[in-house]
Amino acid sequence: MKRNHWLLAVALPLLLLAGCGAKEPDPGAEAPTPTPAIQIEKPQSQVLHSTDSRSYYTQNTRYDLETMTARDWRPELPRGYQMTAEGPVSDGQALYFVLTRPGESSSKALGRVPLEGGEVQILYECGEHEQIGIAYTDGAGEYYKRPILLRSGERRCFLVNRWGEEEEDSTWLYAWDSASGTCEPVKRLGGHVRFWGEYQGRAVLRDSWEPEAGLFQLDAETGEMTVLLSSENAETSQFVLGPALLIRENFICVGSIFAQNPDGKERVYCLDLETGAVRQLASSDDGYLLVRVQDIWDGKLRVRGSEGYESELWYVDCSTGQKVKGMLADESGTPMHIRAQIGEYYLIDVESERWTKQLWINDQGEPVNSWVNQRGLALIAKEDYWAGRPDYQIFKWEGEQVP
Amino acid sequence: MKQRLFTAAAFLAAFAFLALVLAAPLPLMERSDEALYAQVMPRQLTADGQSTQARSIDFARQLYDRDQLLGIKNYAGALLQMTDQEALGDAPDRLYDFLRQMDFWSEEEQAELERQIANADHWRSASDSVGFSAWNLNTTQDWEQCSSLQWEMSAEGQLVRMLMRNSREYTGQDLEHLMDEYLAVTGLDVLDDWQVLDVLIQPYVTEGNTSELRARYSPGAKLYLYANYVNGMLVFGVCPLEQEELAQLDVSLPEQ
Repeated sequence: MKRNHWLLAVALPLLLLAGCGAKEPDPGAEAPTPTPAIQIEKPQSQVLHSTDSRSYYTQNTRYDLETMTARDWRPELPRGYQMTAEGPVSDGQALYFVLTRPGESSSKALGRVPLEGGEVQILYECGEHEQIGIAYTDGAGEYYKRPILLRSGERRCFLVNRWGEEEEDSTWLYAWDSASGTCEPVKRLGGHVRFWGEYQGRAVLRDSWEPEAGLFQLDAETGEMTVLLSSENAETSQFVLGPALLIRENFICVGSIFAQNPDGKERVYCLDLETGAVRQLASSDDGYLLVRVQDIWDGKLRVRGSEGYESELWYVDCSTGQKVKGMLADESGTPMHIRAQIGEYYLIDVESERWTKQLWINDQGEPVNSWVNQRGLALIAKEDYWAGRPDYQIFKWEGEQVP
Repeated sequence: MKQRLFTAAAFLAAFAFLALVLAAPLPLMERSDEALYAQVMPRQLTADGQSTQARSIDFARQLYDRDQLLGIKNYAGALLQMTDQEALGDAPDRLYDFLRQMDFWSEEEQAELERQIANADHWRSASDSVGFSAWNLNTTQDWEQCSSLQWEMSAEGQLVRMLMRNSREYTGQDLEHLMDEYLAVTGLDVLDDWQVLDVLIQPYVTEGNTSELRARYSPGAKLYLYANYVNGMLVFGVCPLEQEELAQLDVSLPEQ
């Protein structure tokens, strides 16, 4: 019996030590869904985006989907040129971006650099009264506009807006041929043609000087413009003539501004191009005077309601008109911001632990150092996002320790 | 009874053993911390430090070291902790002592400063391990306009920066005079490489107000000296800045 007590004296500390650090499994806690291996196949659209099958690009950062790392992306620009605030687009082989040459008559240019790096090639240099066409090619939720680049076999097409005192305003389709290295005008598309989105992989355009002519789909291969929606149809004319349009997937959304409506309310309507159904998706009756369309992700429209200092974001299902519930949201209930999509994944903004110091001069002319939180970017499977499962992978900065 | 005693002894032995095991590495860890702290100074300061002349001036060295070790240039714009009136202690007296040494600070300015401190209704402060402390007092002026009085001092009583509203209008010449006096009192006038900077910043100025901005830079000490009068606020002080950091701001060194 005595020996048993000594055994107890030795065994107990060992058991206690063994217990330190070991965590009892919680039978109630659900194991997080493991993120599947990232295999992305990007459907071919004529419109180039911020992503290719491997990376997502902002003006100065490349987010690598294979390694889940972020790193600075700063090509050496030709002498005298600067990068503009717009982001690049990728065709999987090279990046295309807008440059500017500051000076008395600052001019824009379209640049190209291979993904593996190398010399920046100027594809087109704007004249005095010319601009490269830019738009929110990835969705209005993106922070950067990007050049409108269209894939056409080995050619890359883009829009050039031209204006002047002697010449009538015009928008031209240009094509750069990678085989011959030449860049030539293909055709005049209209007076002032603007990109509003894409449908079935083709850019949807409207001439701001002639909106009643309709919404057009541009085939970059042939340069042909075909009518997608005509203003002659009374039921759908608002989707052609609306002040601001959002065209993504099968849907065209349009918002009416309160000043245009006799009852002083705003409304958001959606046309399903597949079925022809028209639905009201949001209005001032949802609790906010102003209701604005923001983005469409997989058939769900993000709406922003605001009044005074109050505002709210929510999603509405374009097919049912019902508010979407249960998606991934932050602590205040605001849906996590989707920046872009790639295959079955979304790129979302998340809080980051990365702080950078910023030196600036304050209102009194003093140098001040502030710490600024750099928001992080994460990849999440679409189904996890809509199910509200925070099973996302954050991009780590190259060289940063992975915990 | 004997069995219970054995059980109790077993438990006691278990806890004693556990305490010994857990506490054993503490002295080693402490010694390791000491070694690490001792390495911080030479490791961070030898690579790209100040000139020998600047290192010989305590105030210049402390400003630079604080930036290198703690990443603090100044407390301008920083969120300070709310504090009570008791905690103010001798901070105003230390400020008065510094300002009285400057052949610039008039009796009117001193009276206005004392009035603002006496009438302050909110107090905030911050201090760091290098011994610098900052104060931010919200004070209500005669014309019921709320404004802030801020100052920051080193452990040795040198003024790092000050921001104050008063009724006097300062010209560019006044600000140059202020900087000369400031350098003399802090001992930074020993540095022989002060260069006058072209300040290109154009702060927003409300109607009826003006802005005068003056600055100098010492490449050896890596210090930026400034005296500004913007929208009725006098603000002056010194801030550690690397030359690359200076290049990021809207100021330029004179061409060689």
